[in-house]
Amino acid sequence: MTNEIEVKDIDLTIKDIAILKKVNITFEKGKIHGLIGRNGSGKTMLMKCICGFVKPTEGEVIVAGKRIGKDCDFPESIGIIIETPGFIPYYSGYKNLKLLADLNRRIDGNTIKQTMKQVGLDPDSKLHIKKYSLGMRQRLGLAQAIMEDPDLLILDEPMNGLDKDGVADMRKYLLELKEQGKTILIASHSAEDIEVLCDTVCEMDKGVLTKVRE
Amino acid sequence: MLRKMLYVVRNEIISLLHKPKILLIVASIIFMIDSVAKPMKDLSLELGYKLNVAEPFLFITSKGLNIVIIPLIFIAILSDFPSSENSGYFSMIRNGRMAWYWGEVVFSFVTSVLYVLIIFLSTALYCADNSYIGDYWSDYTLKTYKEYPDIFLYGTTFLDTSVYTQGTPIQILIQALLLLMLYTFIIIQIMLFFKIIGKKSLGIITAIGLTFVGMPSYATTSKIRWIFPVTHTAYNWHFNEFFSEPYCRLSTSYLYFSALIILLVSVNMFLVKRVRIGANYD
Repeated sequence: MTNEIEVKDIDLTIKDIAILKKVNITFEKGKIHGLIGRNGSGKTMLMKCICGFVKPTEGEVIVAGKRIGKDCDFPESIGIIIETPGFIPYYSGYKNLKLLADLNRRIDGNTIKQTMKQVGLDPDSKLHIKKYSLGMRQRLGLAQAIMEDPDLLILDEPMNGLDKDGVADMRKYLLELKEQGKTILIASHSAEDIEVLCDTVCEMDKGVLTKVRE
Repeated sequence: MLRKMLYVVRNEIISLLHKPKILLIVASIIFMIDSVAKPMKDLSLELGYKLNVAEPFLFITSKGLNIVIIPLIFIAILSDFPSSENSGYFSMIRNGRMAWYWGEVVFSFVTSVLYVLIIFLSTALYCADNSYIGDYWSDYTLKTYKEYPDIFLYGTTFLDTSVYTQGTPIQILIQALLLLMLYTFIIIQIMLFFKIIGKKSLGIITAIGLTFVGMPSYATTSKIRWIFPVTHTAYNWHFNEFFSEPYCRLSTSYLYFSALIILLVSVNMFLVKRVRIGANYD
């Protein structure tokens, strides 16, 4: 099995606070990898380093063979949900996704509509994002992450705001994506999500990463 | 790249138009009309003169208070710049850092130009029924001091000699518009710089501070005032009022603004490739 993500000895210090300490890990392709840890343990920051949003103070991140920040700004085939999904609040869900999709022109309107249906949203709804519930925004965030069929998904607390059915749908969907060969890195507070979904589990504690389950 | 930049520009415009702060433009227009255009128009009507359509705007841009208020309102309108919708992860990861940055630069340029033009056009439209379009100064500006010396002596709505002795109305209007646009563009680049390094609030404070610090320039002739960009913004501050001799050449001000813009754009371009997105993005 090849590695999709290689994190090599990364340190991250912001305002003299060590956020990540010598994090060294590889994530294999085609698996779901779980990241657990308390609030402020460094999970989100590690994900941001992998995505290219944050440059580590030391070390490097390689995604699909490319060094982030050197060979490319961001990984080329990636879908993300990090922190609160940010959309243009004055547009409908479909229009938001269409605008984002138009940036790369990899997919058409039909694919967007199909993806929205997959995550349980009505693509024809004219409801503006500002009137969406947290759960609906989260679903739209997932649709945004997967609509262009990326090889790698980085999902930070994707179950936030979802009701019971929503969580079940999301789990089912993530497992389907894994079957398709996608690599998924997921951070969650829910032990059950991690148990049900993940092939490997890592724990972050005060910036130090340890693998707890292979 | 162009498509991605236009996406950023469009989102910024949409975001701006949906914010209540946009109404500050109306407040700005009302203030300029009420404090300048209306008194000028009323007095010119009373004296039986017509105004040149550019004169109210030139009067606005030749007064210290207005030269400060116009940028301050601009800073308030754009205090959210760049909008969080645009600098969000979803668009950033698809756009790339450079397309995002250049999109924001284009937006800031467009906004600076439009803002200044809106102020000019609103004063011009307000005075339209008692003004003319032409490249010559009005009798209101040139003759009042001879024909109505008492009114001229106590009047507060007459152009300084340092404005109308330097060229034709169109020449000076173009200079006044350009200088103000360049200044507003520079302060928005400063705000962008602070946003990029994750200190957005400090960017607003710096932009306001720079504008305020330049205000006393109006009252002093010390050379040190030319350090501040706002001093270069008022056309007539470049000239001695009585002898119309230049304190500072206009070409020097354009060079000064160009150097500042090149510096800011270069630094921002360098930083945008390296800074954290989201880490301490306030």
